[in-house]
Amino acid sequence: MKSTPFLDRLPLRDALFLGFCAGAIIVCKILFRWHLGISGHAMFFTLIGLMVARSCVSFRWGATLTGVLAGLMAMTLGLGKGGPLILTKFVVPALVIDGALLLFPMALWSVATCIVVALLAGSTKFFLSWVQGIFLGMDSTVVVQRAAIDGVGSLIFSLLAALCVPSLLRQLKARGVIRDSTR
Amino acid sequence: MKRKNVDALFMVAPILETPRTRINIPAGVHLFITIVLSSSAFLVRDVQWISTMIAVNLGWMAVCGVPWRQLKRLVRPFAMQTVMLLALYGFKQGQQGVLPAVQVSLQLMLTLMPPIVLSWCVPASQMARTFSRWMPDQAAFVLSASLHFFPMVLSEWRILYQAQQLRGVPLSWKQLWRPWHWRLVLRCLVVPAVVIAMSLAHEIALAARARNFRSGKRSCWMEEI
Amino acid sequence: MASRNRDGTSMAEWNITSNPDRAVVLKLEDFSFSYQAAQPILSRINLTIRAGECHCLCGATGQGKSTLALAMKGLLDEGTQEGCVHNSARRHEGDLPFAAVGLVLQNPETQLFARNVGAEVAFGLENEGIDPAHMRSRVESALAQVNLNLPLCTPVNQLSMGQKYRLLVASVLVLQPQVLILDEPVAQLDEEGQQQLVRVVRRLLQQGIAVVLCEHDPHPFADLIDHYWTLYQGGRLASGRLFGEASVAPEREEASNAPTSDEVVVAAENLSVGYGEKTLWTGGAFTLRCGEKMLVCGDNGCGKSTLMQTLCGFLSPRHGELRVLGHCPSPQLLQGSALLLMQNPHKQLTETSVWEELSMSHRLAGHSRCDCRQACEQVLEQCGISHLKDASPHQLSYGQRHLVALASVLVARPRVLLMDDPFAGLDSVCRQRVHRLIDQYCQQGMAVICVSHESGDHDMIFDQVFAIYGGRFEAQER
Repeated sequence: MKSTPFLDRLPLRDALFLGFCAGAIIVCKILFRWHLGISGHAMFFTLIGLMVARSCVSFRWGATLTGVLAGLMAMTLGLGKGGPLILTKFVVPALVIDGALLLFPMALWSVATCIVVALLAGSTKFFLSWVQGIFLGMDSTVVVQRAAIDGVGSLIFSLLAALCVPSLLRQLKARGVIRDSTR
Repeated sequence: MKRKNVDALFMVAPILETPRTRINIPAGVHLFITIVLSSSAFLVRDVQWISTMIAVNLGWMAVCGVPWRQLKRLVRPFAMQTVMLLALYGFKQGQQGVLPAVQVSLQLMLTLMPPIVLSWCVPASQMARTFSRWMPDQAAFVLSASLHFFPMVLSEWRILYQAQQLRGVPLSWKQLWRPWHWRLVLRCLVVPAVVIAMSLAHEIALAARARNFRSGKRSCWMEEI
Repeated sequence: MASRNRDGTSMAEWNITSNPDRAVVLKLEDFSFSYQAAQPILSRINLTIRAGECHCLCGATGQGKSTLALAMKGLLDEGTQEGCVHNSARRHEGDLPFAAVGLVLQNPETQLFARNVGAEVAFGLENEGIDPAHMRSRVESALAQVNLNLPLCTPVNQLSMGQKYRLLVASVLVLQPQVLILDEPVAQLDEEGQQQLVRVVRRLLQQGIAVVLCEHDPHPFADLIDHYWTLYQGGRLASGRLFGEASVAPEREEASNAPTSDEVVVAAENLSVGYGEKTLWTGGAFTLRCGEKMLVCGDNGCGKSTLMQTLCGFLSPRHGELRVLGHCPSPQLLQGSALLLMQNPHKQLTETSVWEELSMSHRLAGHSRCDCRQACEQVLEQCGISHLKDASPHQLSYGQRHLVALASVLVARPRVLLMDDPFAGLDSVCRQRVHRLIDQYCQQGMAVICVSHESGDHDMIFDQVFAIYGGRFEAQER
């Protein structure tokens, strides 16, 4: 299959870095599943991984590509509660992050805007859970209640991730990992 | 190996590479069967069909030689979902809600069974090659190279984690429960971990380019196992 | 900018007129490179390489040898370049400009892309889009060139480091280069591996392939080298080689210099280590006292790093007894008392200035803040890097970063220092400095356990030397 032009603009180094971020998301998901087991905790690592990946690489679909790679890795390892739908658990929040950064490129560098982006990305869990419930033929009220329960946990962990990310990015910038051109 | 604290994080590396093929089915076909079986869980709506699908999935597990102990992975999500759904349906429909709650829980479990079989039978590298058939060349290479080199990244992170823990950074589970330690963890573990990942990605990309890697059409070594 | 010759005919003419006997295959003319204008990495380099010649680029660590190797392969894509890299090594119309310059980088592990030998060698052919039907013969021929007679389905992870390195050379040779550049080959290989590689290089030279070695310690290749070049500070390249650059054996310190006390720091009895179901070695028995230095040598993968992890308490011994500072080792108990220096220690640097790095280590080790300033200044001075205290460790040269990492460990005043291959990749000047520092701190009572893949000349400064060979941990005769 011929390479699509937009991927050609992504240097191999950056692409591999995105792959490693995807791997890190999966490994954290595996590890903390054993120890925490709190609903929505995976969103913390997912968002940190996606936001760091997007910020360190000057590729406007960096988070989405990381999400796709993480989803494919999760599928190969049989992770998650969504079966083949697990891809969407990573890709949809990633699309939200990329979309937000297209409109506001500096959004992740301030805590307030980062919280807004993270909450938007975290809220995708609500919609995914809602769609899954509809497909399973659940009662309409139960669908909304279940999605809300899933979504609240996810939003709490998204908030925690948003508190960490700006400081993390500033430290990465100080160490030369993120350059002005990347931002 | 005795697992100690967060060090267990790095012990998952082998599962990325361990081949456990039991039957001789191409990975693509296996993936297709998995998607069909998982998707069918969304279509079945009565007890009879759900029972049939559970039997089909168990039969598929047996055919593939997946040990029954793998089903233990389903117990926790199934139990959590069942409790939640029983509470929600019970709140709305009373005793009549028990059956639909259990039914939906079983449907959710049916979506999870085929991926367990897939991950047991098809090693990650083979799966990556299968995905790569439908992906652009560079994306396919990135996926397989990320999986191939990720154990190396994990090993570097493990040594970093160990060095920082000995240095005095609070990294044990007990210490990690105290939020005021997180800032130090971010600074002494997460930041260097990102630096290590970036530097390894740089080295690997350079090595690929030194062997004339470029974006565009590549051919394929036919004898790759 | 690097000139990219697109006309194969004119290039051939240039070669013939340049030297009818030995064609010029690579030529650098006034080539300069820098990331920042004020700090040139390479400055006005003039270098001509002819077919069948063996050149050796020497120079201290961090002087730009690897950068020059990348420039010759056309892989420098950041920074500013001036001057020309003439490259006659294109074989076919439509080839990449530098397709016939082969480059093997320093770390073999990051260059192995496939799971088996055949696929690894074929990786370059895949990149060039070669018809799969033509691959097998070329792969077999390249493997024969490096004396690697293995089935093509042999898993790469079963090879020794020497075999892996030759596999990489084959992976480059399969692309039919006219110039082969090897970046720091000696540091990666044990003696056997080095001898095998020397034989391969000799054969390649006889076949008319030019070889460029970027190496600060090229003694195994001494018979083959036609020209020595040295890179100096500021990126200047001069013909010849500095004698100081040669590997200098450290002088054996008199035993009386080491003020060892009777306090046992590490004691092992009938120790076996391993992980999973696997036991890597057995029969470990040693006692290390305050102020003593111990070296453990062994091939890659023999269990040296596993020993380090066991000593730190991250792995439990499989059998036998191990006591570190009087306890069964555990990371919590050893925090601040036993410190670990990674193989590439700069990777464990976390702060944005050398001073912050040291003060952070001092603080984490639990020492009083009042002593911090004095302790950091003292260690910086001992390491000879006082002038770098405000610099960012991430922007220093390899050798300087190595010293910063060592300083950040020493400032914590550990009772035991565990070092994983601390001399790898260091030039002789840096090595001497590291030797001196270790010695100085051991005289103050610190015990050192060092693992390395080569005993080399380093065993001269150690009080005890052990080797892991054939699954046994054995003391070495001194």
